[in-house]
Amino acid sequence: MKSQIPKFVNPRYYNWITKTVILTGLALLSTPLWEKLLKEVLKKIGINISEDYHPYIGIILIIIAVTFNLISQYFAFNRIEQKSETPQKEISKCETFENFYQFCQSLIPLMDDNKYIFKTYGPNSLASEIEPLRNDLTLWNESRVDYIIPNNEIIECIIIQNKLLIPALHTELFQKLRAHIYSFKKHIENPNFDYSEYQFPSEIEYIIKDACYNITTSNKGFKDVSYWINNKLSFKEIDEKFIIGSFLFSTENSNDLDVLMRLNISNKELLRQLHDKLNDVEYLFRLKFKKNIHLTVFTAQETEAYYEFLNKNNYRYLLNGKRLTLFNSSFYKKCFKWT
Amino acid sequence: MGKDLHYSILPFIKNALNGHKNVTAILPIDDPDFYIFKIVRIGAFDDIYLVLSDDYYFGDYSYISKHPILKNGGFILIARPEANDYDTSEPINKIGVGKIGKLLGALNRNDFWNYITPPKKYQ
Repeated sequence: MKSQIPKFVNPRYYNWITKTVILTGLALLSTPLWEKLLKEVLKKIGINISEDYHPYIGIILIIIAVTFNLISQYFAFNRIEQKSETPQKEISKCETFENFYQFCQSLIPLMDDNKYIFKTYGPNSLASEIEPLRNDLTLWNESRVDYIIPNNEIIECIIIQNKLLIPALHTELFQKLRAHIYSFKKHIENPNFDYSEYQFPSEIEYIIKDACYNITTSNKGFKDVSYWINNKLSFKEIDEKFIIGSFLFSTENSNDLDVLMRLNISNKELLRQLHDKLNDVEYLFRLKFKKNIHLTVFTAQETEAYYEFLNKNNYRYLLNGKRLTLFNSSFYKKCFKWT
Repeated sequence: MGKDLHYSILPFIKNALNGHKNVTAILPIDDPDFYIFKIVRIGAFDDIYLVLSDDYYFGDYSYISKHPILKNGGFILIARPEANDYDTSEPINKIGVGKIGKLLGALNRNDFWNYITPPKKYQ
């Protein structure tokens, strides 16, 4: 109930008409006060202004403000870290965490990395489809030692260090994961060691991701970003849009924001025009949130592929495009729910 | 398109290209948003500009968003193994699009943009 009161007292000015009228009113109200204040300040530094010079001083102030803003934007943009020439493996550490959410967040990049390597280099992967590499699992064998084993060691260490955070309901599952890690290592040391009874417990991925998804998507940071991106992507050419990927599990640790969208256009010229508009949004997002946006776009002719892609993404957050205004009845209903 | 690729992908691609009989050098071209390489080939084969796509799905929008370095032709490599394949029939632009297998085949031709991956033989 308490949270509803400030919302009503301090409404968000979605509507440009409201904003303009309020600003005009405020400007008229505060003009005499500002005038007095400015005159006093300028008098103190030895400048006396007459009534005739007011518009010129106003224009000079606006020019100064706009120049300052442009310079600040330029430096802010250059401060954004560009990706290094070669993508590097993220360094994960074995740490003690405060809660199950943080614990799960630390496991996701490590487990995703293992999954990606298995899918890319493991048996029946892309590597085996390339002629010179057919029947050659060298890359898989190397990746297991170079990446999966070190990742597994950190995963196991995190589980041991934070075992008290694991809910009793999931303790057995985490034990199964530890058994898998141990047997996998044994199998690599001795290929005759059979670890088929200790396969990776795949359901653990959902336990971990569910925990992160539910908390992350209700965070203020996530809501701010999703609200911003939803508004900026309110183009008539976009029929549906979702946030997907790592941002759903951790707003701080994700490298970028993945946005999936379905368009209602296929015409190349219209696509080019939309591309220019989306480029502007990407630029603004980078300035504001110091992250990149990664767009996955399906045209009207690619609807079938879109739904296939959508179904593969178990975790997604719909950006519904509804924009609240001061005249939106549902907004008032929410505000007065407590009365 | 951008630079959001798993750390194992670039070495994998470079390794595959270095092993190709027609490739003599892979020269990186500096770009803030894309991984771009100039592939130098032996003898009478022309050099190729290679731009890597990090798209999860490569479709018409991705093709429209291609890098300006490709204005005189080149190859867009769909670098993510989990991404789809893409067919384009615009030989006038001299642009080839595909995954690593298609690129390795296309490197055997001067008109690399016309190369079509042969259908897989089922064993």
